[in-house]
Amino acid sequence: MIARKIKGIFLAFIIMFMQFSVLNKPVSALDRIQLEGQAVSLTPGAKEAANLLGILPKVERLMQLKQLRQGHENLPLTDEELGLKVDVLDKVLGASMEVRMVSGRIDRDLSWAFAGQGALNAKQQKILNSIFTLNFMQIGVLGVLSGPAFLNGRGALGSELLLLASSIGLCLSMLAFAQTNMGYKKPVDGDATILTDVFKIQKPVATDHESKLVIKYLDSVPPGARDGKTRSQVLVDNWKKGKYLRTMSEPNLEKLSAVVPQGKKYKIGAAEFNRRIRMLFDTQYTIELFHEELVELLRAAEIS
Amino acid sequence: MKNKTFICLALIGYVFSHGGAAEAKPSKEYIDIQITPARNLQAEANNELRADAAELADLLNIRPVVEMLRTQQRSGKDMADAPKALQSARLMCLWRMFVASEEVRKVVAQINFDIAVNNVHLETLNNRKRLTNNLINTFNFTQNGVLGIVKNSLAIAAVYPIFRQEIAMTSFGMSGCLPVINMYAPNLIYRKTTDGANMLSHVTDPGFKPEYANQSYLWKYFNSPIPGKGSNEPRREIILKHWEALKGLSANNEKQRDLMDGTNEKTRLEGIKTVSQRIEILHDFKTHIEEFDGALFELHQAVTNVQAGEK
Repeated sequence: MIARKIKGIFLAFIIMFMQFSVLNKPVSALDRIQLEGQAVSLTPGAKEAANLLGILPKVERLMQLKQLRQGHENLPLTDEELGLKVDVLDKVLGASMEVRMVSGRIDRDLSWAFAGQGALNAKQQKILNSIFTLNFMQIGVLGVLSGPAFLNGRGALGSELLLLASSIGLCLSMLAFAQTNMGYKKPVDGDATILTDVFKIQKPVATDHESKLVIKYLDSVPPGARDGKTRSQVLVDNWKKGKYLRTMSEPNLEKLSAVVPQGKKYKIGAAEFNRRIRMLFDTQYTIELFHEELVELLRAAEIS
Repeated sequence: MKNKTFICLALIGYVFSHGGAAEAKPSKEYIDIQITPARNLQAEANNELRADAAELADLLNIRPVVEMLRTQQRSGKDMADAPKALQSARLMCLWRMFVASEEVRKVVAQINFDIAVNNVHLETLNNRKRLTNNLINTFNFTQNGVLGIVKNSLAIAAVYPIFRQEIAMTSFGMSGCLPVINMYAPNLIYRKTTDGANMLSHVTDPGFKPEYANQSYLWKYFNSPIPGKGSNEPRREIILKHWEALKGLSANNEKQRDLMDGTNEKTRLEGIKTVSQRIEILHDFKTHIEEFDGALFELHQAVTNVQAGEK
């Protein structure tokens, strides 16, 4: 009897645990339709996209119509369905174009940054190679000249030449060492990058193509985020963690974003270019993830 | 004596200048270009389409439909409630914009492939360059070490004073010569290639015309002048001049052009400079192609983001 009761309690616990784990599973695109005939729901990503595009009521209406259609899929679309579908498609395509447009702009910023970094690295390498070659050559020449001096019994002159070669060698080595650590810099040029929107820096000139939606997306909290941080904040935090962003000082952020306020002159080195490249790639990836939400939204609003 | 000094200085100068070839004089006008038309803010204030959006509306052959949809938007009614005829018009606009957008994606994908292939070639060439430099340096240090041991062994034994000095001179002489070889050897590193034409041939080859030329919006766009620029130069020509100004790529130099775009399918040699220049130009080409995305976006905005009650 007691054994049966214990067994019952144990089974009840297992059932409760299973329900709890099912309810707490992360919602994916496949889970968007709730169990057996209940109301159709959107995935968190699709819901966010619909909210950002301002079409949530329309998407919900479409989903209601989709439910009403069950079993009558072959009937032609009603005027309402057609109007809503075109509207949703229009907004989603517009959002997709905006993401691509911003992504293209980032490609341009990346290309610019890679070219700048390449030029600085090449310049530094060329000068280092020249110093090394000069060093080897002077040692060779002075060494060869010291030979006849020794052969002619003028040992002191030979030793002086070798001493001179060693001293010059030491100086050139120190120069090469300084050169390696110093690096080169070039003035900040090009258009302000997308990083201005991540860091919230004032742009000197307005961007040619406004990207309000993408900025809204960057400034919104991703669905399911526990810390309540926006995408921009997450990016900045990750850069701080990875030591790409060592200081949040205004000049540093402006240099990284390629912004030069009037009356200021900034120079940027290869290491800063490298950080900018990393940040641009991260931002591009984050922005392009919006496509995922758009696909989820289209799938949810589809009427078969 | 003066002449000898001058010759020596000239030689040293030549060695350190790496013998850079004379490049075409860049035309400043083309250094930084934009292939979309400039905005006319006054016209926009009068509720006209942005210049880039207007050009694309004409190119996609949807200008009247775009104007019709803008008029409907201005009435303030929800477009979802618009009649079926208007929904069809909206669909047609979206359809054509999507086709144009896909054309951009296709070309960008091809350029990305070319960039990836050339990056692999560049890495291979750079590896060979590093290997050559390292081998020459290692040889230099080795000969220094071996000859130094021989010379100093003779010195400890106090024999062959003249011979051991000759050994030292040989070692120093080689130390002086090998770095010069090290400086020039990488310039002799090439790869044999029979790769076919890359995406740059769309611009550099004046005779190039793809099979889809008559259907492609993007191709028409690249072969038309920038509206309002006051010149009949097609965008293709402008981009070519831009590369000439930026990278010294001469469109008239057939050999140089062949190296860039690979249209000459014979076996040829290409070095680090050619490949890295090609990668840079491919990146630049991609960014200019993607300007089309911006114009498409503006066209879409022009149709959907009209405020109710606008003039």
